Amino acid sequence: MFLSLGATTVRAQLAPKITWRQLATTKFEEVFDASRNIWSQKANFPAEILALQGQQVRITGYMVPVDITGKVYALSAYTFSSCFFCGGAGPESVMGLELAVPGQKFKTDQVVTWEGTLVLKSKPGMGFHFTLRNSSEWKD
Amino acid sequence: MLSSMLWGLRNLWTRRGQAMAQAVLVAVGMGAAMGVARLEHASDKALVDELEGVDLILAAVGSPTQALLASVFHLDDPTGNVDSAWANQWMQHPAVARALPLAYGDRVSGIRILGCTPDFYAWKQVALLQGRLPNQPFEVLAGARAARQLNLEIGSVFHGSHGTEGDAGDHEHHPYTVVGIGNTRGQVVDGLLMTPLASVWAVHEDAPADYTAVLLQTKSPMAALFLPRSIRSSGMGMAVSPPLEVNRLRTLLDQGSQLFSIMSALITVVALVAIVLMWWNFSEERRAELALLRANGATAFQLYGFILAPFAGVLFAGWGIAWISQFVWTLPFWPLEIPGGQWILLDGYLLLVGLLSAALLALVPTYQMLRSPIHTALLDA
Repeated sequence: MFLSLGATTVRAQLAPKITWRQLATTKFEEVFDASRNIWSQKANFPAEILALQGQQVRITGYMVPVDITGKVYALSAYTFSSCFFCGGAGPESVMGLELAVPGQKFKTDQVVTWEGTLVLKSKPGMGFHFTLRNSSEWKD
Repeated sequence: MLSSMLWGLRNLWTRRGQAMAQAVLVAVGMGAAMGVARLEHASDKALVDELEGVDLILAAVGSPTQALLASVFHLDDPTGNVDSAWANQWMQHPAVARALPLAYGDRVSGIRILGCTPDFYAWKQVALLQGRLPNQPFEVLAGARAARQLNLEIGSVFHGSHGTEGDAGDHEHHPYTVVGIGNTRGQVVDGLLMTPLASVWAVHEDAPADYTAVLLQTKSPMAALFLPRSIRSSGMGMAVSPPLEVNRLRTLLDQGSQLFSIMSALITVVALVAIVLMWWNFSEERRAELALLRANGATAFQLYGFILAPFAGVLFAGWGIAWISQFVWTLPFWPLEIPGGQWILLDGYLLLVGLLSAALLALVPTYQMLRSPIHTALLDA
């Protein structure tokens, strides 16, 4: 009975808001990816982050356009110019976005809060270590 | 109602000069909206066509937008040259899937000679119309449009020159020979002359064998995001991110087209107001005759049709003029491949909005007419 009560309370609550600082607790190591013949980074997620795997979360970040059609974006902890060109940013500071409603257009460095399902991949291959699936824009 | 509408149109004919002026005003407003929509569509398509498969551009340090416009669209001067030894390191980087080094050659009657590698032809999906691809220095593949403009055939020989044709900088010692003519995907490369990198380098013997830019495709979006920092910090050049630059260009274009849309909406509104005023005056002048009509049993509906017909006529004419004229005024942008003949949803939408506003606005003079009592109006008859 307690369990079912607990479940309903969680459902009624907002998806927890996660921070880039939390994600930055992830440790990365260089591994050689023989199938693609490149060095890539393997993520070792701490228990606290692993617990969020597949969970509905909210996160705020800067929009970074990833393709020229303007339909694919990543979310970043830093503005594009300050992170990717000047240093300080690692793979933990960026998250792939899979939009629930594709086709929305955003400006570079626009600040947006997203709600979606967090997917963690320790060896993401072509993708990102962190991905937010089925993301929808969150407005307070 | 139909016969009253015909009568209304006949009345419009008696004022055709005024009506024509209003139709032209409507056409200017609507035509601007149609043209902007087409330009936006075309420039979006051009951006995607030209940049497909380019995740990063290596270029000399300078304005990223300039580097992009120069190395992909050939619309601006390059930011400089990049050292080829330095660039080769990045071209062989494991996260790079494909690298297309480019070297700018001279121009022939304003048409660029572009030094490139065979991969470039594959990337641009060159479809040969005649001949073959170049494999020796000073052999040239002419884009179909460039070949048309310069009247080139297989075997044609030409010289490159600095700046404009006939100036002192002709490179007489290094003739180029056309070995192939081909259609390419995208409009830009179609207007270029392509040759192996070695020819461009041989012409400028005194200068080092450098690249003007290198187009890179990365193996993952993550690499496209993180490589620029390492490239920049290695000191000799910069990496431009096309998605970022295109996002910036789109933002600018959007602002421009918004301004244009507001202007075209304003012009259309002015045109509509002018039409209302014309028919208001008309119903004032013809008060007596209209009153006679009503005395003879014309319904409000018929009067409405009498007023609506010329309204709709003017708007339809304006829309038609706009539709035809947009073929003409988008002509200067021809290389952008304007889908002018294509029926765009917007055109239909404009027509619908135009006719709906005619239906609404025609209510004003109709109301004006019905409001005046028949008996006083008849006094003038």
